[in-house]
Amino acid sequence: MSKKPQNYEEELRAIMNALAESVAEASDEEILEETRAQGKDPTEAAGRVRNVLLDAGKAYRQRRLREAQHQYESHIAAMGARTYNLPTSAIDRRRLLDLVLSRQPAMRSALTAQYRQFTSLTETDVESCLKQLQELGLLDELSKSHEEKK
Amino acid sequence: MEQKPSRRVPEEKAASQDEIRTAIHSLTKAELLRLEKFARWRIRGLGRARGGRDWEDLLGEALTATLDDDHRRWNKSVSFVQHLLGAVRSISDAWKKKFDPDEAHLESEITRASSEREAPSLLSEVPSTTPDPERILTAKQEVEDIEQLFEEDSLVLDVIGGLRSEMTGPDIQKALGISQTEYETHVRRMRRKIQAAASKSGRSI
Repeated sequence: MSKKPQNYEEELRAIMNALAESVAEASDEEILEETRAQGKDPTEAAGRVRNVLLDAGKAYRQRRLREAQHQYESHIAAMGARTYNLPTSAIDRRRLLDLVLSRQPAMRSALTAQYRQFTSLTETDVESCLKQLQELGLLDELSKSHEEKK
Repeated sequence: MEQKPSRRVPEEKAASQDEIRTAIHSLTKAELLRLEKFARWRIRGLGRARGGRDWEDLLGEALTATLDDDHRRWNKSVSFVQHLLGAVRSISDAWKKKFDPDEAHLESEITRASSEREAPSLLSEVPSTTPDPERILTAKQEVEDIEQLFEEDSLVLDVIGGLRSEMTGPDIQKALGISQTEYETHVRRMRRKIQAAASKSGRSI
């Protein structure tokens, strides 16, 4: 049987992890006493650890905001670049939106919150709503079901 | 195929972001220092696998994972400290698992065992795939240095021997015929002496 080669890195890790676990089990007084024995002020040292946690939280939130912003901007840019098959006149676009929402009231929930007050939509809002519905494939679905009924 | 039980924290038990923030502010001095010390020992144990990261990175990662709904949500049935200790434990294990010891590394990343200062060589920027004898020497040297610290303390040496053989705490207690309290006393003695030796040599744990 061949001898297992000695793995000093694993051995060191086992020792260090055991020492870590002993810290997890130590009493509060022992932890504070050890800190003082190292010449550190427990209050100051603890404050630094709290800042490490708070800074990590802040960095996480900022990263999430940046990601959300980036996604939103990409989405808007993609919408801007796309060709939409919508009626050319504002009146016809408004009629189409009213028709869509009357036939499929559930589609209201598919639109972003700012468009929920449908009585006060501007022409730009109407166009944006229809583009969003088309993005979601809902206009095509409606058109398909209308064709099937004919 | 056997299905593993879901580890997802039930919604009613998962902490919100506000609760996590409150918990951070509510941590006591001892709890905060416990987290720091725990992270320091876990990082030290990673050796090369730490990849230039320190205890702050490890603890920060534990908190980030806690905030992320898709990762390690805090189940409020355990204390926040216990949750973070668990996160530090599993993240450091994951870093170790991901580390490839045969991965190419830069000579400039190698911790020099020698205290002699050498002029930087051109090789320092060239990746190498050959095993790193200096890295292996460092781990070997560390283990030997630790044993040397306790050469007059046979009980601690026995505990160290057990750990080196990948035995668990309970296994070591059984093999040596000692109680859990005695085992913890020995390990505590180890921790203090290793810490003191590290401080003396200007190295912080």
